[in-house]
Amino acid sequence: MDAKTRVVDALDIETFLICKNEEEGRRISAGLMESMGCSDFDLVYIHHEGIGARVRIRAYVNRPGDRYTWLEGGEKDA
Amino acid sequence: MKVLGIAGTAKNTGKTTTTMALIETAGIKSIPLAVTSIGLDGEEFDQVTGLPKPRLSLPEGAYLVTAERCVHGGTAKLEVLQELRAKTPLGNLQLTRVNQGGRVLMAGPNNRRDLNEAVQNLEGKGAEFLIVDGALNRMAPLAGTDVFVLATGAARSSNLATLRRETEVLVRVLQLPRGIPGEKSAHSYLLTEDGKRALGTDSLLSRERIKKIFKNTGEAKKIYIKGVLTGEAFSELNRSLTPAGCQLIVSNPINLLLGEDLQELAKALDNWENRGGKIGVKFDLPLRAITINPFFPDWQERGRFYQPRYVEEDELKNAFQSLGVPVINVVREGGERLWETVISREN
Amino acid sequence: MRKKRVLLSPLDPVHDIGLKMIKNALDEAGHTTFLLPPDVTPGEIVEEALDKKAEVILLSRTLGYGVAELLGRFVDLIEGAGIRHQVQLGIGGMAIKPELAAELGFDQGFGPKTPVEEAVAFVEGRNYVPTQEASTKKKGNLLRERTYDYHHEEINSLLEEISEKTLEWYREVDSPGVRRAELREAGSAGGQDYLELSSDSIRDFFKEGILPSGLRLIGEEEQKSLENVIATGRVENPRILQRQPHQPLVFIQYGTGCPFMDIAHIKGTEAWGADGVVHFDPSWGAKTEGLLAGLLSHEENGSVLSEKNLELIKKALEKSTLWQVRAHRGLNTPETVLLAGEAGADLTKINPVYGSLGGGTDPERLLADGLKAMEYAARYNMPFDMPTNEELCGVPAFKAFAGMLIVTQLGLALGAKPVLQPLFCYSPEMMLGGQMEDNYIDYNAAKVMALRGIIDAPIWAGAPIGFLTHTEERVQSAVSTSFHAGMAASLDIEGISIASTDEAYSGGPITLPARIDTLQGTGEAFRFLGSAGMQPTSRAEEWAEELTSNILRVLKEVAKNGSFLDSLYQGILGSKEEGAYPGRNGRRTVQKRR
Repeated sequence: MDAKTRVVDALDIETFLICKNEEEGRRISAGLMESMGCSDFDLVYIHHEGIGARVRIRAYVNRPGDRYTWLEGGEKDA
Repeated sequence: MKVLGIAGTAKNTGKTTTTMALIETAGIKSIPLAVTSIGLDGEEFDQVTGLPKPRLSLPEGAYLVTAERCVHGGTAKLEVLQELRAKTPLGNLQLTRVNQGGRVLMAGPNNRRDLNEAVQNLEGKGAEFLIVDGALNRMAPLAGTDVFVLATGAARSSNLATLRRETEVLVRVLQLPRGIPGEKSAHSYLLTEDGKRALGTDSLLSRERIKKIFKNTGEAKKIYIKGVLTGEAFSELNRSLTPAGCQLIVSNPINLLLGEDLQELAKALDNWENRGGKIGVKFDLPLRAITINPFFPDWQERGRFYQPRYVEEDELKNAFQSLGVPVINVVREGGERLWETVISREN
Repeated sequence: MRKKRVLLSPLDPVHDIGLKMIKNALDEAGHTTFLLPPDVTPGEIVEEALDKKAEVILLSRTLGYGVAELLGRFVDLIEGAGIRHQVQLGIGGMAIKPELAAELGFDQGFGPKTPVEEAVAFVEGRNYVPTQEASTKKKGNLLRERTYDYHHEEINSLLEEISEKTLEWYREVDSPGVRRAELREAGSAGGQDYLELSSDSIRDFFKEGILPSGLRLIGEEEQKSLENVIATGRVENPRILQRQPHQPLVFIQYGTGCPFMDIAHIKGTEAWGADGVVHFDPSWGAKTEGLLAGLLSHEENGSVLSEKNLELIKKALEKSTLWQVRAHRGLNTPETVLLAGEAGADLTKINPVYGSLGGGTDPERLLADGLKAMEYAARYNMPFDMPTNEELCGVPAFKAFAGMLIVTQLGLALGAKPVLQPLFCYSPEMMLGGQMEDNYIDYNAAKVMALRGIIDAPIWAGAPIGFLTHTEERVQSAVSTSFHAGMAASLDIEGISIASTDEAYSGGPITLPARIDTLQGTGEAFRFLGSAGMQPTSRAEEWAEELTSNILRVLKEVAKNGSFLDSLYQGILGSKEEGAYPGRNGRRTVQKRR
C-alpha cells in the first residue's frame, strides 16, 4: 500500500528556508515539492525576512470531489 | 558627448546585458564613458521577478549618475563630484566618478528633464558617451537620445510569431520619417481650410475624446500632436476624418507606442496610409540596432513564482530576419559587433 | 502650505483600503482629492489627470504577472503627455519598496506598512520624519525605571543582615572557579596554572589537542560561508511584538549545540520579533572545571561556551538584540560572566540557590563563585536574572523566592543589577496543592504581586513561561505560550522568556519554525490585548499575602541560623523531601583565601 493514499486531503510542510528573498523562497518551495514527487501543491504561507522565509507548503493528495485514494479500491493511477 | 539610450520592450529583454557589453567594449578601446539608468540596475535580484539580474561593473575613470542611497551600494569606490537637483525614491541624484573599478548600483533620472540635467552636468567632463540603461518597457525618458537601441526577446513574448509581428510595428513606428521641419507650436492643433485650431488637449488617448474634438471637422490638412496618440484614438481618427491630403505629425515616435494594443496601432497606420494620409514625427529616433535575448521569466501560477526559461536561440534569430535594422544577440555575438553597429557609425 | 489636487487610483480593488485612508487624511488636511473607481486603464487615469489638473497621482497595486510593465507604461504615458513635471507619482501596495518605485519610474514607493502620514508628507512635498518606534527597532531596556526600593521593611532588614554576613564569609574564601577567572582576566586562560585548576578533559584538550567526544572544531571555510549568509541575511524589518510600553520584552533561548545552527535560529527569531536571545550551554559544561577554546560544535542540549563561539554569535546579532549568556549553575560561573562581559553580552544569569539545589553544584562552591560572578556582572554593567527553577524540583515558590531575594540583596550590595525571575509554571507544588485547578492566572499573578509588594525590581518571568503546560502538539503549545505572554503583559512585568512549540518534545533538537510559532503567538497576544488586560480573581491577592508571609518566615529562619550557606545545606530554602538536593559537583573545593 502506498502510505500516501491514506492522507485524507493534503500534506503540509512547515519549514524555514534559507533564501535571499520571497521569490527565491517560492522557487525553492516548488523545487522541494517536485523533488518529493508532489505536482499538485500550493504555497499556503510565505514570509521572508533576514536570512530566509517561513513557509507552509501544501501538497494535495485528495481534493474534494476526487475519487478518494483512501476509499477501498480507490487508489489513484500514478 | 553622445547619449545612447537602451530601451526594452519588457523586463528581462537584455537591456543591462547590452549596456554591460558596451561598457566592456569601451573599456577595451579605452574610450571614456558615463553611465546611468532610468530605473534601478546592478542589484543582485530583480525587484519584480526575484530572479538573479546581470550585475553591472564600471572601470576606474568612468562617470556614473546614481541616487544617493546607491552610492555605496556596490564594490566600486565612487567619488561624488556634484549633487544634482533631480530626486528619486532613493535620494537625490549624484554625479560621481569611479575611483576604483567594481560593481555599482545604479538608480538614475526617471524622466527626460532629469536626464537632461544629468547630461548637461556631464558635458565637458571627458566622457565620449553616456549610456542610459532603460527600465522595464519604459521608453519615454529616452526619446531625445542620439543613439537608440531597442532590446527585445522572449521576455516580451515567448511566442516568436507574435514577437516578430510586434517588433515589425515597433520598427515601423521608430523609423517614421521627420515631418516638415520648423514645427514650432507648443500645443497640439488641427489645420483645415478654415485655419488653425488648437485641440484643447495635447494627448489623444481615447475614442470619446477624438469623437468630441473632431466632430464636424472639414478637410484636414495637418494635425500636430504634441503628446500621446494611442492606437485606439488613432483608429477613431481614421473614422472621424479623411486622411487623404492630411499630414499627421506626432512629436516623437515613442508617443505613438504608449497605447495598450500595438496591433490596433498597426491597423490604424495601414488604414491612414492606405487612404492617402501622411504620417511623420517632429523628432525622429535614431534606432541603430535591436538586441535580442532568448531568456524569459515563466510565471508559475501554482506556487506563484517565476521560473527562468529560454527559447531556442536560432529560432529567435530567424524570427528577426530582414527587419531593416541590425539584429544582434549580444551574448552570442559579443560587444564588439554591437559597438561596430551602433557606435562606430556615429564617429 | 499650498493645497494640492490629488488623483487616487486603486488599480487593485482588493487593496484600496489603504488608498481610502490616505484620501481621508488628505481631505482632512484640506487637499482636493479625486478617487477613481477600480479597473481603469492607464490611459483613462492620464485623461483624468489632465482633466482634473492633478498635481499628485497615487496608485495602489499589488505586484503580479505583467503588472510592472503596466505601471511602466503608465509612467511613460505621463511623460508622453508632457505632464511628468507637473505631477508627482506615488505607488503603494504589497511588495512595493523604494527600489521598486525607482525601477518603475515613480517618485516614491509605499510598502504595506506605510503610515498614512508618510503619504500625506509626500503629497505636501515634505520630508517624512518617522516617529522613533516606527523607524528602527531599538534595544530594549529590561530595567525600565525600577528603583530597587524595598516596600517591606522587615524583609529588607532581614535581607541586609543575611547579606552582610554572607559577604563577610565571601571575602575570606577562594575557589578554583574564582582563581581561573582571575587567571583569565590576566590573560592566562589555558596556561599551566589554569590547567592545574581544570578537569582532565580540559587539560587533554589544551595539552594533547584531544576534543571531548562528540565535539568538532569548525573549519575556516565553513566559518566564511556562514559569515556570508549572515552578511546577506541582515534583518531589515524585524517584527515588533509589543504594541504598548508595558508589554514585556520577549526572549528566546538558543543552544542547539552548534553555534552555526544557533545563528540561523537567532536570525530567524530576530526577524520574527525576539527582543533578546539567551545562550544555553550544555549540561556537561556545568560539571567541568575550565572552558575549552575555539569554534566548537556538537549536537547537544546547549552550545559550548568558548571565546570564539561567543564572538561569532555576537557578530551575527542585530544591534537591537539583547544578549544573555547564562552562568547560573556550574563550575565555571565567574569565568562565564567574564567571558560574556568581554564578548559584549548585555545580560547574564546567576543564582547560587537554584544552581546548588536544583542544578547539581555544591552550595558552598556555587555561592563563592556566584558572588565573584556578580562582581564581574557589576563591572561589565550586565544585569543578571535569578532563575528559580528549583520550583520544578518541587520546592515551594515561597522558598525559591526567599533564596532569590537573598541573592538580589547580595547583588545590590556588590553593585550589580539583579532581575527577579519568578517562574510562570505549572509546578509540582501546584499539581499537589491544586492552586491551578481552575486557572493558570491567579497563582502566577500572586507571585508577581508578592514580589512587587516587597521590592521595586524588574521582573522577567521564565523560563520559559508556561513551563509544564505545553504538550507536543504545536497549536496547543503556541497558544499556551501566547496566553502566558498575555498574562505577563497584564501584570506589567519587564520581560518574558518563551518556549518553542517543541518545548514538550524531548526526542530531538528544537526547530526554527517551532520558535517562530510561539513568537507569532506572543505577538498576537500583545496585539489582542493592547492596553486591556487579563484579570485575576480575588484568590490572587490572598495567595500573594500567603506567599509574602511565608517568604518572611523563611528569611527569619535563615537569619536565625546565622548562615545563608548553612541554610542551603539544612533545607531551609528547599528540603530533600521537597526534591531539593544540595549538589555535589565541586564539593570541598572552596578554600580560605591565600
